Amino acid sequence: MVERYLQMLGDKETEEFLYSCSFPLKKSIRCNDLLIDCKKLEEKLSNKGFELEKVPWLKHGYIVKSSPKKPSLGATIEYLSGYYYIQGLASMVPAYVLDPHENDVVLDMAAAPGGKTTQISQLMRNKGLVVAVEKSRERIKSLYSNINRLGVKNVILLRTNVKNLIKIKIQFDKILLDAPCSGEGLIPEDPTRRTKTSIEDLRNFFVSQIELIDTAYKLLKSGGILVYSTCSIAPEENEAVVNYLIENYNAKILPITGYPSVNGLTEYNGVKFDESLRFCIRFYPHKSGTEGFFVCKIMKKD
Amino acid sequence: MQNNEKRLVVTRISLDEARIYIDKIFKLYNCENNLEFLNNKEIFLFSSHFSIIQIIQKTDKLDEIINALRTISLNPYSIGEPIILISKNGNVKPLLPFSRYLIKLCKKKICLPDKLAEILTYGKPVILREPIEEGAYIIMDKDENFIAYGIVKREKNKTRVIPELDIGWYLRKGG
Repeated sequence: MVERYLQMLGDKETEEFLYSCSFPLKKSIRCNDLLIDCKKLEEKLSNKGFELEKVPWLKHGYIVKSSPKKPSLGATIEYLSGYYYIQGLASMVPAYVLDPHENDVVLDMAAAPGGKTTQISQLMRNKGLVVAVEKSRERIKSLYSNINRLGVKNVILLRTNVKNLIKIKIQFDKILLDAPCSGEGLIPEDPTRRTKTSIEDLRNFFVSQIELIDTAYKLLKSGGILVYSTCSIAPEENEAVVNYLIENYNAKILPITGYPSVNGLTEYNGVKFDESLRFCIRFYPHKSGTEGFFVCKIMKKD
Repeated sequence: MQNNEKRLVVTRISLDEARIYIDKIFKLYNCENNLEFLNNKEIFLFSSHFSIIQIIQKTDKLDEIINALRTISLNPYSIGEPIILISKNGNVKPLLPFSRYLIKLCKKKICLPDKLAEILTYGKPVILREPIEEGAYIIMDKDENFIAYGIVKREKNKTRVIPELDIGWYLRKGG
């Protein structure tokens, strides 16, 4: 794996990256302003001994700088009341990039456990419609629970393989595909991921990600927006997947601005990707202070 | 919600059909007879070995999607907010999302100090010194956050508050 990082980042940065991965990330939350004013949430949590710091580049994001011994962040009355969701900072970015509006019909393709589904509904102010799809019988329970806890009202929840939706004639204004991935960006959270993923695993993820992004593109309206994201820094799971859309469907990549991120890769391991992939963004723990993450905004051409 | 034991059937029901169940909840918690929360809402009954009433804002797109899903025999797992659970024997219970409406409409409410409210979120009963009439209540903390649907029982010189469904469910069972 280190060899891959060296190709991706170079000697010096690989060292910085691996060093930063040896420290756990600060916990972070997303304030759910569907149910509470964020200033009021800050006050309530401060009264319980939590020290929050607003993240300037995320409208609803806070870093939890310190916590009391009790209660834990995931067991306060405020958490159970749905006033916030515990969510990595970079993982809040895809929903903002998708920028769903109140009248949109949005598809969230691999929706459990619901962090991004509930954030999409929050940004839509519970208007319009979100179709959230999850294949797993087990994982859909947490999605259902989180939707209800966070006061989300505009979601149709489906337990199915998302490919089944191609059979019906519905097309979506916006689609979020936060694809199942190796989780290579989460090494600071789970150090076993440093060595867990094999090249064979990456190949398998790549195949299923290609299948998912192909399905997403078919379900998207002309002129519609698809946001593709993963919690992985592997180019095989990111730029290579989006490059497939550009090569096969002539998809257009739109720039993303306003985040402490770096550009997508246009070359890796001797393979050249489309130049427009530099518009995608990458987060690294040593550069952004976040989990490793990839986000790309894609428009379906007429 | 889907389950293995019996095939799920999802049907649209009228306001009058839903009222039969809503009125029972309203009576239980002495609520103002105000159905404004159902304005412009579509009401669905999810029937299996138990039933759940769910509500969602009406839109043309909603109809289009539900009808399209029918053509491939795909029932939604859920639509909008689940508000009422109806057991096989006809017993009616409010679900957690319904509390956001009931808390504004109902009079049978008890406010508890934070410590006691926290105990209820573990699904455990609490004891109060003050006498409270027996029955079903909506339990809140001192900031008027919904904590639980509970039952109050009198025992000699004390009052026992037993949670029937509390927000700790999201942690214990919700996943």
